[in-house]
Amino acid sequence: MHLVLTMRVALFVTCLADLYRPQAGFAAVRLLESAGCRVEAPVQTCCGQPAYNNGDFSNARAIARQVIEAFGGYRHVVVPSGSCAGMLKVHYPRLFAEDPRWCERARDLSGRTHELLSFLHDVLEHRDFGACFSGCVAYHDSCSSLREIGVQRQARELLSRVTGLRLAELKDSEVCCGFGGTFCVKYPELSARMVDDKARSVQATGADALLAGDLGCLLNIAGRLRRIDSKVRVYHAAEVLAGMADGPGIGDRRHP
Amino acid sequence: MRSTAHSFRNNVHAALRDQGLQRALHRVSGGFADKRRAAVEALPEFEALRAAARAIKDHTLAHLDEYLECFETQVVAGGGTVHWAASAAAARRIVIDLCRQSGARRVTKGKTMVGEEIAINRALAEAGFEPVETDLGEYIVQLAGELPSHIIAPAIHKTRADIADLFRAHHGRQRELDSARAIVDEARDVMRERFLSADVGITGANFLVADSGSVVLVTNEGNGDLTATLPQRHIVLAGIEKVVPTLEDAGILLRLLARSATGQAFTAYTTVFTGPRRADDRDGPAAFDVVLVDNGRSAMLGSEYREMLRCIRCGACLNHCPVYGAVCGHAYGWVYPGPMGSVLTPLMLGLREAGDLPNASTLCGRCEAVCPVSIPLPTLLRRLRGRQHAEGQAPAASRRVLALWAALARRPRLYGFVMGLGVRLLAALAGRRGRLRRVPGAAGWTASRDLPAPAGQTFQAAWRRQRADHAR
Amino acid sequence: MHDDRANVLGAVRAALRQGGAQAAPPAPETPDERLRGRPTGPQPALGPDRIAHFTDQLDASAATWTRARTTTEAVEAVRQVAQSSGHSELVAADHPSLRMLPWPSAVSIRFDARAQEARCAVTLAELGIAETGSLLLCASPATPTLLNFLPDVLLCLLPTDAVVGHLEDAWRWLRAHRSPLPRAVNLVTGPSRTADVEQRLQLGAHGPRLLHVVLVDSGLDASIAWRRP
Repeated sequence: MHLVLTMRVALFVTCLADLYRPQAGFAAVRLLESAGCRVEAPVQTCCGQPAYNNGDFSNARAIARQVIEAFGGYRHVVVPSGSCAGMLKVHYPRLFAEDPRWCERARDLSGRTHELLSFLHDVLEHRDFGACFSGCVAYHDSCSSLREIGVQRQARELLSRVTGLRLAELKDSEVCCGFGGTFCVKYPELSARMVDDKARSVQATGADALLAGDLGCLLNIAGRLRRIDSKVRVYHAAEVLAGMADGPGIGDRRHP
Repeated sequence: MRSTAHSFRNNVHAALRDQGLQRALHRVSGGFADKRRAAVEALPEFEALRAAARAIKDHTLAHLDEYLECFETQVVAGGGTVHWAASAAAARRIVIDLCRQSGARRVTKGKTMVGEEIAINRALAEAGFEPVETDLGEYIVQLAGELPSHIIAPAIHKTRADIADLFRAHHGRQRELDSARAIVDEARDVMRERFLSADVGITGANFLVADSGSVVLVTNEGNGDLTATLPQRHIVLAGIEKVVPTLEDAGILLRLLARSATGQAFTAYTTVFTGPRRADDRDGPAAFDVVLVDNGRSAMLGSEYREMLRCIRCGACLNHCPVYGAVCGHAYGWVYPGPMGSVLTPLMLGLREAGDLPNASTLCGRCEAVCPVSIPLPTLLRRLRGRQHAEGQAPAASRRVLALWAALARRPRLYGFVMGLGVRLLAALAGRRGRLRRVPGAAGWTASRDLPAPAGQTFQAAWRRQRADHAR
Repeated sequence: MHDDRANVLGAVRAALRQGGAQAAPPAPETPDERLRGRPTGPQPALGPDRIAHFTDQLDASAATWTRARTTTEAVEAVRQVAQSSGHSELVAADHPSLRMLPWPSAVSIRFDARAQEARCAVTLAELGIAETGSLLLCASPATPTLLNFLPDVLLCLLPTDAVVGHLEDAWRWLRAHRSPLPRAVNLVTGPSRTADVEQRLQLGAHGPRLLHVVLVDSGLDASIAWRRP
């Protein structure tokens, strides 16, 4: 694809990155800028998944309309999360199936929305960001990344270009980590079992770090790893790709 | 069949702590999934077959009345009888009447989920008949007085020792039974006598073939055929959605069925039954009765849940579901477990009874990915959640929190302000440690996980500050 | 019999009138068109050698098999399998094609359709299906269904040229040669089995423990069907 310098891109940062791990958002910005984009971040809140997945379609639609409006003027909308990207790309059109006007607008946004790793790899075709990370890394595919967006291969290719990084494959990588939005607090025992299985898979790889493209999964797995006193550090994949993973990982002790 | 779906949380709690069950689950973990993957990888045409299967089902459902009538006409032309049951109670009545007509005492049964659905065993027993399960897994759970825990492997939760104990208690033989071989041999022996002495045989049907009036039944053991052939009457219990137009259509679905269920290319015994014995046949039933059961299926057909009727009961969704894999089938409380059960049970028994089921899922989508007829299970689960929300059935606390979140999300400035405060507070509470072991109101999370601390400043606040600095 | 026929059909029709949400409407084909057309769907590709594909599938299904060039070799194969599985008496389907085989006097064989006492049985398959490694056996006076299920050991003779490629070929053959369909058409793929005890595969659950197929290249006249009055 012919790269136009200073391509204008809107960042849908996601509520978890916004509130919990801005580093992931800034890493996404750095990656996009080094690939030649000019990044803007319109005022935003949430993609509406919590309402949607709990059956509150009315609120989900209200939030979706807000997002569609806020991101209407951008040729490219980039999302550092498989599940939020999936929400915009796959589910917004379904939310408005009965409303032709908004459905059209949702489909339009869907066509302009990209998950971050997919955007870098497939659209910008910019795969090497000159980053270094010395250590072994396990990569967790979020369910949306696997089944709604499809960025399994791209994530690994981008990570393979990071100098010093060794990639270990997680056993049962296709099995859900047990986050599932409100599921993890509504069905804590089931969620605990699933995240424990995932944490042990991570430990079994002997990896120094766990990466993923979704903060929900990362917070969940990091929470369990910390609880079992594991030394595995947890980052959003963007942080490693952008060379911004030398600080504390998710849930780690802060630097003074 | 009395449901305990309303006790799902308690059921889960018990299942997670059941050492024997967890050991059994650990032993089978991933086995079915691995076998299915191998079978799919060996068949390049798999995805094309899936698309064809879905199209067959959708077409048939769109003309269900015509195909059911065609099926009935053909069955009658072949000397059989078709009975129609609108409800479980009606189906039970029909079966009991037929057994009485045959002067039956002992009734053998092949595996039939519809049979469980209408609780036919209890009805038969209460009417004075002796129902005997012939599928080994079903027989084991029958001896244990339990429900099957998996639709393909009903006794998956039982260890060899459990089964040996059951056999010793019920068969009155004092054999050691220290190997699976010994158990199977004893079952074969005991069951042979029962097959031979049955007056009526009841089976399910994998497919009903409209253009020949045939019933397709698959088993690995051969018990289906012995159940259908030895007694003087063969009763087939089938949901109305089991009909397909032709043998060709059945063949396409058969190509997917065993591969999706157990990873086999084909089940050991795939039989096409058409009517009662002919004048010069040496064996076979004199009476062939098909009981078509509605029991909520026509309602599904006319609803936004029609796609659930594509289900061919292969069990692939169960085998790939992390929730099912953690707790097995009994936790779901009724006949149908796992993802398909989480849709069917609320539709058949109501959301008030089975309200937890559609919610106890992360919507990971693995079930949909492996379903041979591409049923959009996560979408159907979400739709059920939508119905619960609309009917005010979600628990109050979670409704309030979600409503609050939505209210904030719809007001970006307020959101920014409130969230900004919130994350500063949480970060302060966590201090240098970077995480919290306990957070009031979030015990669901912190029971098993630390809560990582947020950075303390939101991305948007930092971003706007940066832009403002830049502008100066 | 009074039952819910009108009720159920009425409910189904009402449901169809209502619509029911679907992702995409199905093709506009009518039942009539489909029943007449009997479209063939995607089929698994077979290798260039259909018989080799068939025997590979037999192996995969835990059936054992012998290829006999002549009927003499065929009956010898039967004798060997019976002997090595510890059976001195054979019960055979009472089929003219089996009767006319050159059974050696050493073989104790009874042409008797009563399967109840048979421990080791010999029968004849109508077709073999290469796609799945299945034997197609039809219920008939000569070949009652129970003969396929009650014995411990089942030996099945099959002319090599009766091996067809796919399931569709079998359905077509049935419609051409066995119409109306027999009471039971068995597609048998390997011996009886169960994994219900700790997910470990055991053969011989209720049906035969051993299924041995004898493919016969020449001399086995499968065209002699049991003629119905």
